Amino acid sequence: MRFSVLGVGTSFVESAMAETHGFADCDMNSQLLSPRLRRRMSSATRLALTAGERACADANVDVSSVPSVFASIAGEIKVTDTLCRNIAGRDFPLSPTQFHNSVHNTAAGYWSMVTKNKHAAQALGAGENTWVMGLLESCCQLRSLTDKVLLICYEEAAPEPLVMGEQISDCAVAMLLGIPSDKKRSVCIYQQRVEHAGASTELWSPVSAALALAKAVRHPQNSSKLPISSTAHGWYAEVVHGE
Amino acid sequence: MKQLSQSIPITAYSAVTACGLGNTPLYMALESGKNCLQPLELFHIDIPTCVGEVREVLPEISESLRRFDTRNARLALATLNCEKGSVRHAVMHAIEQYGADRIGVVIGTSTSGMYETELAYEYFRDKQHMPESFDFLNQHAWGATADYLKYELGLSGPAYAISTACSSSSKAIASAQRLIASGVCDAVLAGGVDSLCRLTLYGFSSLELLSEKPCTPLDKNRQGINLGEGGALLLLEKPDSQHADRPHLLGCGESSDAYHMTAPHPDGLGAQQAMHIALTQAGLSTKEIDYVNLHATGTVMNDASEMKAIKAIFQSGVKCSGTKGITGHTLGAAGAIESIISLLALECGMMPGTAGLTEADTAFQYDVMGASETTASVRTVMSNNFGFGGNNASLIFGQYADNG
Repeated sequence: MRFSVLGVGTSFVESAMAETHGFADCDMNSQLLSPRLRRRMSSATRLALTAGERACADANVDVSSVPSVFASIAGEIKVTDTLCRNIAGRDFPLSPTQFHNSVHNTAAGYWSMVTKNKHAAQALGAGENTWVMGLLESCCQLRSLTDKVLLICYEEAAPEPLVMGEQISDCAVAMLLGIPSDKKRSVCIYQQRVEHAGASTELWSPVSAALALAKAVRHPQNSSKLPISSTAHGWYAEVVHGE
Repeated sequence: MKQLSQSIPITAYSAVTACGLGNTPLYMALESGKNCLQPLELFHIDIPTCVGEVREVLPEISESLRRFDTRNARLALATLNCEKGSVRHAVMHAIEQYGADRIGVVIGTSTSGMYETELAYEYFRDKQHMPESFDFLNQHAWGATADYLKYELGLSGPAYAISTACSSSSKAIASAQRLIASGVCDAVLAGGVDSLCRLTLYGFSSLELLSEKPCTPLDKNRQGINLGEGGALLLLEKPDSQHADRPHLLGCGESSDAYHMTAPHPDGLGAQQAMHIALTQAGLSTKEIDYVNLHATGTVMNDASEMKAIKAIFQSGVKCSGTKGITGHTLGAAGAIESIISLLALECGMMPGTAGLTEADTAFQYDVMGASETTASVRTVMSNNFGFGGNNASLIFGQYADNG
């Protein structure tokens, strides 16, 4: 499947990590958010919204004008941890705000509110395959519903009892995707079947795959075949050189 | 905007709800208007409320897939096994026809394995570490139930979860439609699974939205929702003359309110937009819709907002009712369970009523069905579900392809 990448945006909790990945000045302080809203939001939601805003700006596309796909393995994992501790400690009543901010579409909901975006907003999760499934869902929308779609992959660091492993987190990658065009930066994704691959033991990080693709789109001369799922699932992306 | 031209046949479907294991007990409860809401037995809570709990013993997860073992996965397995395994058999037939790599899984859920995560946190509280059996990725993470079904059925196509609160599984079915219409998959197992857990019960209690008594959606004295649980699975296949006599998914509409995290837009503007998009995609006028299965949760605001939207879209009236007074509000599974209710309405010519309705809220200025009605001519049905974050979905099903 092929699509064009009209804009890219990233955001990071830590500026040092942003620089390590070659995305300096990519904090999570979205211009869309008032200080009051920023305080109410998790880092997951702030990361996702800030990256989404940057991808739209990069593509010169109005934030209210496109449908969105939010992709994350675990979503609002810090709020979930707080609520689970409350429940285990019989600390009731639960905060109603924390409760409604624990749903997986929290970021999607705030995105639609702050951008006044009334288009469809999708929130998906697919474990290690979250990035490639987000790309597939977006490609299907491009083939059947829309000319442009905003895909945002994000992951906040999980608190101690829920830590998933040594995977990259506390960052978000957004791409404003469009129908394939010869004149734009395009990406082709495909699956190469792996025979008898067992379940992988290492947790494979969707957001780091998204970061790698974001870098490849920026510097297509250096790019080659990039894995976008665990080896067992065999999904790859290649940047196709435009004019 | 581009429009899908394909309607997608549904070749098998089954549901597990508080009414029982399979479509038959659900159908019987719908026809008689029997509410299946009772006090919670699964675990202790301090809140007085009723729930739509699945009280049957759920099947055990096979040894090789034990890492996925959650109440959600067991509900999913029970849904595969019920109705003499009709959905499982249909998937096996699809594997023979298309190949396992051509079949996807898209599951809506709002809880995933939260019930087990809560138990793990009790253990963590006492022992300062999580139990050995806890597997974050395969139990708690959003994609866990979709992955479980993929491995249980030996599929190797795309698999993912949609989690947009109460619209999750309506949107999962819409995603399945796109996967087939785009040619990515030849068949998709779509649906929703949600299990009762402390988080949702205490959470909705904090929002003061739970009803103590069995809920009475659309009633002038409605007092809130009752939570429920269950699973519903539908096999969607690419259009083919061999499936011409099967019910079809004709249109999907999705929208965002862009208004508030928990309150719906007071005039239901987002709901109107979702219904309008679904009608456009199905190529149908409002007069061609025979019955609407409403979201109708039973909260004062939700029902008022939805009925304003219905009144704006269906100006000359439409048969409509809500069925959450029978099953409870199954959150992430509601869209798929009510899709199956819509399919039963199509295939059996029975429009369910609104359980618990004594007197419809006069503020609606609109007729809603109290009792079920049997008729020979239910050809098209709309099913609505709207979630937190102003996330709306409307689906239209028809008795046959090509707009009925």
